Formats: sequence, C-alpha cells, structure tokens
Amino acid sequence: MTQRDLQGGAVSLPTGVDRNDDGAAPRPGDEREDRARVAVDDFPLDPRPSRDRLMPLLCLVDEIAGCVPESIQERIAGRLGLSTVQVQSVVSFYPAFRSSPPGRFRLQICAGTMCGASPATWLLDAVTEITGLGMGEVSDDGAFSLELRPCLGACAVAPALGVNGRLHGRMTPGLVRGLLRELRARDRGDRPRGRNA
Amino acid sequence: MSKDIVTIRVDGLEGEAERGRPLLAVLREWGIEVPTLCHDDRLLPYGGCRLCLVARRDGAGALVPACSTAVEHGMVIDTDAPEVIAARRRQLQLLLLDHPMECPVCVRRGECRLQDLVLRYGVPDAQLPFLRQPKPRDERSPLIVRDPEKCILCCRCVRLCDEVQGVAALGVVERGLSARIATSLDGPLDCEFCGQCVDACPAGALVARPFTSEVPPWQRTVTLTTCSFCSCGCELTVESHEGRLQQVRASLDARPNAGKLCAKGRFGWDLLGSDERLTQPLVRREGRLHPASWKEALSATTAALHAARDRGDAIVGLGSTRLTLEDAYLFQRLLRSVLGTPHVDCGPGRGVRALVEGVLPVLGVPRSTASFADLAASDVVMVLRADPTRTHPLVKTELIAAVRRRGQRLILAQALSGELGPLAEHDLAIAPGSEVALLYGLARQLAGDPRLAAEAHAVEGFDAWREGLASYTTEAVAAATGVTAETLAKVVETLRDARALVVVVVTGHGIPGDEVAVARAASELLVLLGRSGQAGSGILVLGEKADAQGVVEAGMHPALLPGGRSAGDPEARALCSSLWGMPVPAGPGWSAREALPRSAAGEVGVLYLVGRDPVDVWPQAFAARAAVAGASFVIVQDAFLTETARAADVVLPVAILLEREGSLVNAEGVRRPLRRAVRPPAAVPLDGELFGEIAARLGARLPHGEALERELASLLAGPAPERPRFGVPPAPSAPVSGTGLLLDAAPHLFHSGSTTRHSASLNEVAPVVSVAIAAADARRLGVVEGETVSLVNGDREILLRAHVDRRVRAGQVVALWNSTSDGGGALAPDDDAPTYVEVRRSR
Repeated sequence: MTQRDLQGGAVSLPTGVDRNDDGAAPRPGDEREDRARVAVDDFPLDPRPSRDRLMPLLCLVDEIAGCVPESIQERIAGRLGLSTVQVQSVVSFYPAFRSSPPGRFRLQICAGTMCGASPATWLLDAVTEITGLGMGEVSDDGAFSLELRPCLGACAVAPALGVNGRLHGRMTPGLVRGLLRELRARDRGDRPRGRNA
Repeated sequence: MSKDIVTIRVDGLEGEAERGRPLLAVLREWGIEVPTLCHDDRLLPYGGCRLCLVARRDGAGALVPACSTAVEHGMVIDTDAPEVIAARRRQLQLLLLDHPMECPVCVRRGECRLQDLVLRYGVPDAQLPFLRQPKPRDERSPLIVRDPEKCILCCRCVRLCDEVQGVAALGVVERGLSARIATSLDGPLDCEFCGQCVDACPAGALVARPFTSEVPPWQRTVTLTTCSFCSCGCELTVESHEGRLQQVRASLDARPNAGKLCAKGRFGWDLLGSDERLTQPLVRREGRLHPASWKEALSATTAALHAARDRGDAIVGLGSTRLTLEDAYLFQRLLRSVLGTPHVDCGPGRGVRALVEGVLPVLGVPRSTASFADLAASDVVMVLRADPTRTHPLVKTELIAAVRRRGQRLILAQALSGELGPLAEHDLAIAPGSEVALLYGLARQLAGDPRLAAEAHAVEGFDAWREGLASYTTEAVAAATGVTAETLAKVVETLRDARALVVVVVTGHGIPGDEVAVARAASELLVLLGRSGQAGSGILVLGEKADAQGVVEAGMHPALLPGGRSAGDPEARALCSSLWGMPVPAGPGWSAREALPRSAAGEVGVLYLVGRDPVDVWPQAFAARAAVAGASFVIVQDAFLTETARAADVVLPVAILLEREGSLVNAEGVRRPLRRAVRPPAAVPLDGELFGEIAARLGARLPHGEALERELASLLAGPAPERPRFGVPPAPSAPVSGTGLLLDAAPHLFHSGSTTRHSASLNEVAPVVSVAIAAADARRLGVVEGETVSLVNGDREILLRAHVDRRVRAGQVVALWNSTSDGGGALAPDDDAPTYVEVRRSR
C-alpha cells in the first residue's frame, strides 16, 4: 500500500486473499477444474492417512478452480485417505470455501469491524439492491456472486469491496454503482462465445 | 515409567491421583457423579457438551470441563457447587433450544441420556424459547434411521465412526445453528453397519430400525451372553420380551469388545426367527423326508447307531466349530465312549487345523499364545492371509486404535481386498497363497543374524530347519510373492526391532493358501525371534467360527482328547476312560478329509453331522454329496433344512446362537458364557440335550450340570506344553497364476457362511447373490451396476448380480462362499488353491 493509496479516492489493490485475475471465473467442467483435478492427483502424500494436508490442498484447489466442487471433494478424500464427509465438513466450515462455482465476478464484502463501522451496512445493501443477489447467491446469468468475508485486511481504505481478488476501497454508493456497471459491461464484451449458455 | 502420583482435593476430601490423567476418569473412579453427553472412554476427550463442568477453587480458572482437564498437583475441585449445577442446567437449556420435545412418543423413551439429565437437573421449569431448525429425517439407509432434529451435536457417532471403526461415514457439516451430522455427499449410509453410532447416541437421533419396539425398555428382560458368529467372543447385551428379541447392544464394560459389535453381532440375529427354521424332526420314509415325532426320530437315530455299533460299522461324527464347549465335549464323549468310535472331527475347521496341525507341532500347545490385549499393546503386529476388517471386526478396531494412538507398526500380508492397508507400515499385497514363501523368506534373512541364530540353536530341529530355508532366497521369495528384495529387507528390520510381536493368522473358507503351513511357519518365525514364550508376544489364530478354540479344548478332534491331550497317548486315554467309566478307542480317528472319501466309498455306517452342511459349504474337492449318499445312514442335527439335511435319513432340529446355554472359548482362549437370551421358535432342544437323550437310549449316561462342569474342570487344564521345536520347511512351491480375475470367496463383513443367509437384516445390507467387482475391471469388461453376469471357471458357471465396489482390489471379484448354485465356492475346485474366474456379461 502506497502513500498515494491512503490519500483518498477509490483504490484498487490485490487482496492477497485470492490471486485470480479480474478476468472471468470458471464454470463447472471447464479447464480450471481439470487443472484442479490434476493438482489433487499430484499432491504429495503423507505416509499414513492424515488430515494435516487437507487445508493446503483445499486452498490450492480453490486457488485454481475458484471453488471446491463435490466431485473434487471426493477426489481429495480419495487422495488423502479420508472419507468424503470429512472433507465436506472442513469445506462447509470455512466461509472462504464454496462447493459451487462463484460468478464470473466474485463480489466479496468485508465484514470486518472497520468496514462495518463506516456508515454501517450500506455497502451490502447497495450491492444487494443493484445485483438482486442474496448472500452466497450467484446471478442467473452467472456474472456475479456475492459473499461476506470475515475481513479483507484493508481497514485503512474501508469500506472495501473485493472483486475477484482485487480490492476496491473507500467505496461510496456512486462508486459501487459505477464499478458494477463497468463490470457488467466488461462481462458482456469479454465473454467468449458459446460458453455458459 | 513410574506413575507420578499427586494429591488433589475434591468436594473437601483429599485423595491421590495420577498426574496427567483426565480429571473425569478420576472423579468417576472415586464414585462422584459427573454427567456427560459427549464423553466416551473409547474416544479422545472432546469437551463438547460442557456438562462435566466442575469448579476449580485453586485459582486456575473457575468452571472447567472435567473430561479435558488433566490432573495436577494441588487441584481443588468442587463438583456440586450451586454455580456448577446452574451451568449444567443452562447447558441443557441451550441443548433443548433446538430439540423436539416429544419424549413420550420418542423411540428412545426411557433409555435417553438427554432425557435423564433433563429430569435430573429440572430443566423443563425453565425452558428457553425454541429456535427449531427443520432437518429432514433420513430413512434411506438399511437398518439405521437418522433423525437430525433430535441430534445434540455431541459428535459421539462421528468420532466413534472415525476413531474406533476407521470408517468416518459421518461428519459435521455447516456451522452454528445450521450444523448437522451428514453422510458423504448426503447419500445413504455407506458403512459397515456396526451400529456403534446408535448405541453411542445419547438422544434419539440415531435409531436401529430392526430394534424399534412397542415394548418399553423397562419391561424388557436383559441377558448378558456371548456372540456366536466369529471367534472374537464379544459380549452381548440382549433385551427380550416374552422370549422374543427386542434389541442387541454391548455395554461399555463388556469384554473383550468394550461396547463394540459388528453388523452380524448386532443385526444378524433376526435369522433366529426365520420362517425356514426347522420346528420338528424329519424322518425319511419311502425315500422322502416326512415330519415326525421326537419319539420316532430318536428311535430311528438310536436304532441306526445301535445297529452300526453292533455290526462294527464305522460311525463318523462331524460337529460344528460353533458348538458350545460343553456340547462339543459331550459329542466327542458320546462318540468315543458310548459308541466306541474314534472318528470325531469338526469337519474342515480351518482355524482348528491351523491350531492343531500348525501351532501344536511347533509351540507344543494347540492354542493361540497371544491375547487381544497383547494385540493392542504390542509394538509390531503382523497380519497374515486376510483383512480382519471383514472376518474379525473386533481385531480391526484394536489395530486401528493401536496404530493411531500408539504408533503400532502393522505388517499386512494378504492377497484379498481389505481396509487396513492405509494404516499399515508394510501393506504387502502378496500373490494369493504365498504367505508361506514370505514367512520363510523373512526367516531365512533373520536366521542369518548371529545373535538370533545362537539363541534359536538350542531349539530342537533348528539346523535342519535352517538348512531347509536355504532355498527361500530373496529371488525365489520375490518370484512367489511379488515382494521386492528392498521391501523384504524393510520388513525384516521391522520384525528385528519389535519389542513385542503378535502374529495374527486369519482363517476362513475361501481364503487362498494353506492355513496349516502358514500357522506353522508363523510359529517358527516367533520361535526364531525368541518371541514364542515371551509375555505380550505370540501367535493369534483367528478361527472362522465362535468356538474354534473351544472344540479343540473339548477334544472334538480325531487326534486330540479333551485338554489338548494326544488321542494316541495311552496315558491320556486311560485318564479319560477312568473318568468316563468306559474304554476310549485308540486314536487317532479319521479326520473329515479322510472320512468323506471313505463314506463315498461305502465304508461308513452312520454319518452324524451336527451343525455341519458339507454339501453346501465344503469345497468341491471333498465330494461331500457323494459322501452323504454313500453313508448307510445319515443323521443331521441343524436348525435349518440345509442341502445336506435334504439328503439325510433323520433331521433333528436344535436351538442355536442366542437360544443356547453353555460357553464358548474365543480366539484368545478365554471361556465366555452363553445364556439363553431368546426362546427358540418351537420347542427344540439344545445339542447337548440330544446327545444326552441318545446316550440314554443307548444305555449310557452323559453328565450334565455340575457333574459336567466337574469333568470339564478335571480335563481342560491339560498337560504342560511341550518344548518348542522346528519342523522342516517344504520346498518353495511354484508361483501361482491364472487367467481372469481372482475369486475372493472369503468371509466378508456381512456374511460368514450359510447361517447368515437367513438374516433379512444382513441381506438388506449385502444381498447374497451378488458379486462385487472393482470399478476399473467393470469398465474394462463393460459391466454395469446391477446387471446379471456369469462367473465361469472351466465348465462351472454361476449367475450373480454385479455390484461395482470401490473397496474391491482390481483384478479380483468378491462373491459369497457356498458350493451349490449361487456361491463362489461352487467355482473353487479346492479350498487351498486360488481360483481364477472369467466374468461374462450375460446378454
């Protein structure tokens, strides 16, 4: 974070939470899920079954595929010598993991103390109103998904909104509206033909 | 390591306790009531339910959970202070926030731990507003119904399934108020159906469907008895009402099982009420079996025995390894002393053969020398021939606990599918039937150790034995077993490092290889390592049926009199004849393997089969059908009209399993009581009562009650064990191979043989007419789930329904053993050699 970032106005930073680019996130069965499968099959093993390697592997899969689908949870269980429900248990415990693919733009609202304190919960309300999404939902066209993150670690620029791993700080109602409009436009333009019918 | 004893003060009284032990265990030992819902002695402390809160008065916190607090010096504990009671009550109120209050109609009424505590702490007076979360009932699984709304999330089921059973079919998903117990991908239960989760549930969230009863618990009769399926000898708590079975469970202080049971031991008992049970005797008249009175049937039986005895025709008695110790003793006594025949055996009792022909010649005793406790406490365990997960589930749970908690090093050497592989330090998927080559290969390397060789040198036969090992070179062993030189060397190191070593020999029909040779080689390996007489080490032969060890002790064996005495020993015979008041014929008599061909050749006057069904259960090589047809007169004593009974001259129905009294000797040599827990469907006698009646009709008396116990007491102690000695190893046999898939017809978790086929509960979990096949093989052969396939070996063919199962090893198919129409045994030319079959789609 630089001095300039702290001086006001909208900022856009990598969150470090999620290293995806601003580009389109995957849909089921696409190439990223295949890569995640390969990553599971290649993941180094402990000599005996143990849960010690579960978290790193879940993080790796989430990083590659943007989610941990049930079919991959089963594969992870097989690889680590666990039962599938033991993997589900961990995936469903952490809000950071999801089992279905997020929208192409994964909107993450910071639920940290600072973001929540700066004019209350208007950011969440605004995003919900504009996109029509409830918590954890994906829009029908697959463009947006909405989730609450415990803290994005950007208190200095609160309130903050994460979009596919980039952080948009010092949000105002106008900035949110503009950002979402821009994302929508980029989604129409960028979307490869034939995908996600 | 000496125990560190410290002083603590509880409720004003001072006492001593071991530092570091869970406070809860100490409090309970001292007789102090501490309520718990999530605690289970078999599990790691969890600290979830917060009902075991006690007050600490020594300045280290206020309320602490006793289950997860370790004893420290100078602790001052108050277990019934007002704030403790208040905290417990509050905790119960929170649990009830989300609990349906339908106790009067709940299936758990009267045996609900939660209800007990709510009544004890008086919560209903202070119920908080409900915050109910609707959660659907899961009725899709066989035998077990899940009702998540009644769940209090103590997670005992989840933890037992993982920590004890090693299955982890259940887990907690979501969090907070939405947290719930779930199955993998929310499917039906895919597990061992041991039912431990149901016993552990402190509320009504898990219900065993077969045990839902109209009769409330307080009206049931409770009987402690012993399971008669495998040779673990688990204690059962059987609840009955007017002689009818209501529920089977196991209490936490049950030994050896500590509350654990398997699907057979918990749910298999419905076979007792099967419509196919025989309720009255059958007698053959004009070529057909007709129902007859007991008088008529017994007259026919005794007339045939009388005539055969007078004519000097051979009388052969073959009894089941599931007979009680007492009944097996009476059976051999009837045959030897009343009928004067030495030909008594337990049929091809595989566990018995391993003990008598494998262990006895080497270790000098026909019994296992290690116990289940040794299995749990030793640092190295070697399991041979089959995975006890499927054959002896209690042993599996002991191994899981030992490996996970104490880092026990497990060596598995078996060819068939199993579940323990991931726990093993060495999981040797050896070629079928190659255990002997492996053991002698290991022995050859270990005998090269000068220290071991010097000590073993004193044992009789060592030099000849060692010479015989020379041909078991690393290359020969690798060729026979598929185990590489590198792996073999690692196993040698593990065995050499063992402080206490238990070698487990699993027996059962359909396991390829010769159990006698394996038991012998394993015994010799123990002698070489100096572990044969050492406490905590030894061999553990797991007999396939409940009383495999007991029938040996009882002398139901052609070469052995009671107490393991040799039938060829005149002194032993003199002892028995003085006690029995009648001469004992010179032994050894014919074994089942010898007797059946003789019977087929017309040399047998009376063939008396007790709980034995050779036509259906014995391998083709025995030509059992011809043997039954060839005997002049065939008596079958059984609970069902078996294939053999259909060909008999007289069929005598008997009480079985939970309907019996007496005792069983389990695999570790502990005599365990059997008490009649349910009433037979008709007035059928016990096996021993029939032996007594037949003896009486032949003019002799067999002892019963205290007289029988006195006789057993004087004989069972047996002679002192002989000194260990080595035999001569056989030359390595050529590696086996075959085309097609290896047939695995060994016992599996849900069916052990012919009897379990009558259990509707077990059939619901595992239909008998199915063949399990690995996914890879199914894909390759184009076989889909549920379709009918034919299994072919030469000119033999059986039709079964295909079941694709991830647990099956590639290259193998699993089918239940039996030798008639639909069993894998029908394809096996004999029981020792591995059988390979071709799987064909029938369309």
